[in-house]
Amino acid sequence: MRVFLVALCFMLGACKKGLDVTSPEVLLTDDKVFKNDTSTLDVITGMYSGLINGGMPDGKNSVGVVMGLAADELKDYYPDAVLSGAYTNNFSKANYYFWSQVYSWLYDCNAVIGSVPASVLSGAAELRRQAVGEALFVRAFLMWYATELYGDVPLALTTDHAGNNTLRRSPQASVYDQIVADLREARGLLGMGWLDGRGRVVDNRERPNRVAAMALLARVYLYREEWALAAAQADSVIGDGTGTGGGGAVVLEDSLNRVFLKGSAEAIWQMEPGGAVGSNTMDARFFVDATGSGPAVGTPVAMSDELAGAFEVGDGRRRNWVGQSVTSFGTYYYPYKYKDQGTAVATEYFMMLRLAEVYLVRAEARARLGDLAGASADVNRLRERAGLAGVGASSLGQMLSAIAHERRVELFTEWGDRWFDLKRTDSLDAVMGVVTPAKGGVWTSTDALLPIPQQEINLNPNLSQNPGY
Amino acid sequence: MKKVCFCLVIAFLLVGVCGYSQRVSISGKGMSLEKVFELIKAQTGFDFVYNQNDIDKAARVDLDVKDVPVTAVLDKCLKPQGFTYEIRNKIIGVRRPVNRKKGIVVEPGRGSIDVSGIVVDTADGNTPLSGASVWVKGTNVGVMTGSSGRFFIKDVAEGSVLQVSYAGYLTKEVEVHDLILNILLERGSGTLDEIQTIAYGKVSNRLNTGNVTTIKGSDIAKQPVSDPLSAMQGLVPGLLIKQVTGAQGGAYSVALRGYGSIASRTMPVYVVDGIPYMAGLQFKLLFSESNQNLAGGSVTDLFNPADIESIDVLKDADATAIYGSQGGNGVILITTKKGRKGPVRVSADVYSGVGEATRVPKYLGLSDFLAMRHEAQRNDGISVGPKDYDINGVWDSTRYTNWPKLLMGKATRVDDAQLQLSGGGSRIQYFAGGGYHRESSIFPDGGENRKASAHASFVSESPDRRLSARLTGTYVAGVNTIQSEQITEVINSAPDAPPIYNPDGSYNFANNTFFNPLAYLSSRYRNDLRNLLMSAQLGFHAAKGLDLRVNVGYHDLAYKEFTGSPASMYNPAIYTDPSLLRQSTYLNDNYRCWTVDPQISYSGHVAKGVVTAVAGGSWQRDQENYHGVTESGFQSDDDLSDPDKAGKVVVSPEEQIEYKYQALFGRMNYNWDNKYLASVSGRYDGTSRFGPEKRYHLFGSVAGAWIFTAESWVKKKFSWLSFGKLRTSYGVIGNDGILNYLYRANYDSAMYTYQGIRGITATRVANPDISWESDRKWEVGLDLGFLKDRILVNMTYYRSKSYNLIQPYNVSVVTGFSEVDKNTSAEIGNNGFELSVQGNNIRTRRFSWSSYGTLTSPRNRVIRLPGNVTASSALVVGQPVNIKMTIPWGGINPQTGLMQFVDSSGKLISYPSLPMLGRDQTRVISLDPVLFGAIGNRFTYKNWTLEALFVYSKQVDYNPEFMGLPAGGLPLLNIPASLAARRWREPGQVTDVQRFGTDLRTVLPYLYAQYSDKAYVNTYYIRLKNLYLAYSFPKQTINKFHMDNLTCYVKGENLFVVTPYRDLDPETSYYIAPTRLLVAGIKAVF
Repeated sequence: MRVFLVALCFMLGACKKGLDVTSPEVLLTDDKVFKNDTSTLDVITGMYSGLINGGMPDGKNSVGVVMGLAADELKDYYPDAVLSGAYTNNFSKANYYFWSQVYSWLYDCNAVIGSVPASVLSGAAELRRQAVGEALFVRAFLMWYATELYGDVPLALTTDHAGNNTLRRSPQASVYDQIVADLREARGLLGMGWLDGRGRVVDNRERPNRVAAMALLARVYLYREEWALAAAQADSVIGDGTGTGGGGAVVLEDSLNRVFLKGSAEAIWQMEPGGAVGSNTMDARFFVDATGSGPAVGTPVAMSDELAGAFEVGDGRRRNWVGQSVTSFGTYYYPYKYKDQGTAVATEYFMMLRLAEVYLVRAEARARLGDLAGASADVNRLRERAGLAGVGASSLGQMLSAIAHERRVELFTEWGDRWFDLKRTDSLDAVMGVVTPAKGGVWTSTDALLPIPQQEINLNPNLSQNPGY
Repeated sequence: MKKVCFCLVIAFLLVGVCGYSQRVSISGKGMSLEKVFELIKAQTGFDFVYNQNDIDKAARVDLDVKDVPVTAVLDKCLKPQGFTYEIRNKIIGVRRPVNRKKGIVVEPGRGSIDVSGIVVDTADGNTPLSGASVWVKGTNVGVMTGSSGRFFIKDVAEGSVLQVSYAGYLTKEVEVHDLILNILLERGSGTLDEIQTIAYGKVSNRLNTGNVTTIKGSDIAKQPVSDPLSAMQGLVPGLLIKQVTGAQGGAYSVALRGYGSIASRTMPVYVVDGIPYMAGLQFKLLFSESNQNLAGGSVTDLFNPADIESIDVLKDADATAIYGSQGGNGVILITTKKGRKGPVRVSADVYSGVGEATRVPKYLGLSDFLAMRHEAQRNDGISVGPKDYDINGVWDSTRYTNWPKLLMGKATRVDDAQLQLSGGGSRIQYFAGGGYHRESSIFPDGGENRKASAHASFVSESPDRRLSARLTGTYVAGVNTIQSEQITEVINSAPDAPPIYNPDGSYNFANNTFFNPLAYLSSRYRNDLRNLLMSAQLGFHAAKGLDLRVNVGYHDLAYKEFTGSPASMYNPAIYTDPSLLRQSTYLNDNYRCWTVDPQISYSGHVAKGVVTAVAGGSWQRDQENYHGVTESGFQSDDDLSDPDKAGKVVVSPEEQIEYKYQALFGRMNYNWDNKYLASVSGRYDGTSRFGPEKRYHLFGSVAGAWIFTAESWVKKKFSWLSFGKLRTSYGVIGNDGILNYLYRANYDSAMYTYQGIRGITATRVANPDISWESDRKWEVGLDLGFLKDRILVNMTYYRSKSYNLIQPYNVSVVTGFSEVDKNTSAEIGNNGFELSVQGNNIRTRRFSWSSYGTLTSPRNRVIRLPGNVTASSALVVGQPVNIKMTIPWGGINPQTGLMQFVDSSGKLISYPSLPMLGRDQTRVISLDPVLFGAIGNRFTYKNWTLEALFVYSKQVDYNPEFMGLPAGGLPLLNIPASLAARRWREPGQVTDVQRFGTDLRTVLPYLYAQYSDKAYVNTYYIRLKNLYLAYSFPKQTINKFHMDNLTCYVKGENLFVVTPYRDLDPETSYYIAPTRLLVAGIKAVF
């Protein structure tokens, strides 16, 4: 039969080349998506809509809520598969927590990064520069949370499923190296303006730009204890602090109640909520007790007594960012940074990075570098806004603990900052050794890391489990 | 388009070539007779037949003539030498006079003659049959007729017998005495000799090695349906056609011999006039999920049944392997009408009628409903509450609305008109037809399905019949406005509900106490379809037995769907700003497909048999563009279809899908003495659906048949057996009916917008290793004819195994995904038995009665299932693909009147213990039919014709009791009357319907019962699918009006059904029931 067909092939003048089925013309496969500037950036736009609706940034299963419960910020009142385990520092191997979301959005970033050759980036394809810059930034952002949550993690930098399906975990130091490399490259590709998905400059800061890359880099250097680098990055974000230098229009909002609004001047990167739950943040829907009746099945979480009691008397943040419900069972406090539960019009955007953290990064870096005056100036900038008197700087230890306190009351329930701070400063055992038993759990040092999902290890035996699980 | 036009031009050019003259001019000296014959042939085109020995011995002649008749020249050369001649059909036979006597055996080489002849159709006596086999009986000598039906055989012994056969005609034997034979072949009248269209050719049923069932267009025309699939139900053994929904223009599920895949397409492929139809279509088409009643629509509804000449269903490996990867699920060939030779014929056919849903469930009447509600309250020991509007006096409990009747009880209207014109001479034939069909729905809002169509065909050939051309085009424009909301879900509204409308004409929500089902129906839906199919075929008869052909096809389908949600659909109490609710969505889809299929075919004799072979290539390119638009923020319900008035418009990125397909194919058949038949076919396929390394594959089949009644010992021993054929085939065929671009990384529109832009999101990781699903098929069949073929029986057993199936495979999410589509070791098997019987029971001059019946008993099962596979539905090795895992139902507890279940440990449990989904779903229910088929009878008496077609099926179906939430007694909800009658009333009572109640005790068990085997019933139905009664006026009466035929008829569709299935239709169950239609019409032919 084959001989017959080959003969026929010649007869019809159809050689092997003629039979070649060339790559199909299609917009929605990788070969076409990444040929086009706009659609390349559309992948990042689609990734953002997935990220903000996926639950990792805000709402019930967000990093802020889960790690806030694991630390000493939040209290869980109703049993829940994910929340209760976190609350008692008894993370379950059966849960994926943030694992799937990190790698899911990482895939989009890798697809965009891998699709654009260096020659294109240096050329005139501005939308693609933007796409790759944002992809590198988000990859670093996600990997930072992955490694802080899970420790050593597989460094998936391509879209090759066969390779990724057998990856080993990379040591945290290499993950950090990659994060720094990505952020430095992103910083070079991104511009100072805030753009939209068509490369147009827009009013809201809905996409990361060069300032965001610098701000995250400052945090990463701080975590690596590279103080000078951290201070330098923070300097370039803050500039002269009046919005004329450095980060451009990024300045602290004078009013605490404007910080989380859409259009906040303090925002470095905010995300537009919307989609599944309407137009405002899931944090507002999850935390704010609109009925005043205390925690309930759908909104089972309130602020911990530790956090509620951590504010100094007269701290404006206690007044403006903490809500309370007085019920017959008692008084409950809840995070009230996001207030609007309305579904029609977006008044608040979800904060991904803001200037206040950069001030605190610089304060700590300056203190470590011996500039206590500079450190206290940065801390006091935030205290003044909160209506508190400034703190002096007599010793490094005093300064560091002032900074830690300031971080706790300024950045509470934002992206689990408290947990990562405790972990970074080796304070987890000391703090959680007391808090966890009070929450009804048992603290062991290995609880500092989340378990690798067991199902992932079943599917990829090259993955190892964290100790203690 | 250009190529099609080109073919048309060629076709018309051919007509202009003029004929030969019959006068000759010859001058020369000492010419041999052969030379003279050559000259005459050159000038007149006349062929000569003679015995070479005789002519060689003849004397040379001198000639000098100008413009004289051929006969004059012949007389002059031949007569003096004692030769005689005769002219017939442009053949001149030359013979030396011999003393002939019949029956005398002549010595070889001496009494032999050269025979020439022409084989023509007896019907008009001048249509030559090209490719007929002419055989000298008892020898190895045989030839095929050429393009003009002529043949020539040298040295045939006088008195020997020529056997002449041609597909579709009765074989004829002719004794040789003359040099020139005019052989008239008669068309076979029985089914055995009917021509079947097969892949790239035609064959008679008698000589087919494959399994093909043919449905004639005239049979389809007897049913007043819009979709030809409907008219094929039950007629083809092995082909399961199930109406998914009775909504006009709605979907049919079609499966030939079961499901050969889990994740990929299992529908057969359609080929129209040699052109693949929608083979490359992505699944977005036809109708979006927004219209639940249409359930996806039907691609075959885009045909006008009146344009169809015949439909051939190709089933086994032999018939389908030549389609390679496209044939894995079977092939349905649709042949459209072509022009026929003869005077102009005009035919007009108009019918009109009414219909209704075959079944509308009967719900409790007003008093029974109220009694049920009070009984429920009593059972629960609770008093009437403030939200029990139906019985607490808030609603007027003397008002009665029959919701089922109001929502789905409207009479439908069907109108159909067809006008066709055909005719032509021997060189060109034409056909043109136009049709209109309209069918309204059973819904109160007046939605309907209508289509207008045009069909034209030109067939032309050159005078020497060497070149032929055919051009066919079909255009259908359709509009469907059938309600998109699934209405079966709200017919259980309380019968004492408040009035539907407020005095001002708006929908009444009775102060937020009433969910008004009619408000639901104010949603808007409309889809517009334009379907253009064009094909051109150019043929060239290159040499004796050798034909070249090229088929070019173009298909263009444009589809636009609009769904509008006005604010009036919603209760005003639940919103403040109606502009936030108003929304319009548009889906636009354009599909274009080009195909080019060059072929070469050969037929000739090899040894004692006839070889026919075809080989060719196929190039196909499909492109589909798709995008959606969502508009919102309208200020008024009236503005929904006006994009300019939308406050916000979101346009999804345009999706563009391209599919390319290339193949080389070939088939060779060998027919040894009409006794032993063999066939080999193969196809080398390439498709763009797979990665560069996995695109090409070879498929093929072998088949053989033995017509044992051609053996003389069988003839002697079993004289009552007029025909017997045993055949078998084996082959491997592919299924490329998978999604495009599985091998590539895929993206789709993101679910939500960001910054007002709908981004795109990754949906699939690239897997370049993905490749063909394959299907290994085997079958054996026995065809028998009794009493001179008056009774024909066909029995087939088939077995197939699909392997290399593409399934989602679990991977680590570090890959970005939790699963990857891969070819796995999963396997599915299908086997079954098919039977068809046809009988011409009585045939007299005035009265005839014929019957036919089909039966199919299919079986499908999962043979192997690897671990790590995520299946979309539950799959169990050893069970069919189409199953449900259910909780065993434990009956009604006679003491409490509540449902019981059997948990995984075999224990009987009832509320408050409830079964656990997953763990307790231990019983497998298969939803495939066990048996299906049709039985038809046709009677004619004088000018009357009566036909009745019954279809039947034995199957497991959804239990109609579980439509909606049928827990009897819930506030504001009615239940079917049949259910209420069987309810549990008192302790000790044994029944199968739970007691009435309003709380969790009764509601929760009902919810779980939907996952139990109680939610399915083993049932059957026999439906009078079609009834056709016609009267044709006598010829002598209508001839006065220059008519050929005038027929009045009544057609009925789905007239009644016999089934134990209650309330709903057993074929469509939860969906809209099929329509019962009765139409009357008249057909006139001039």
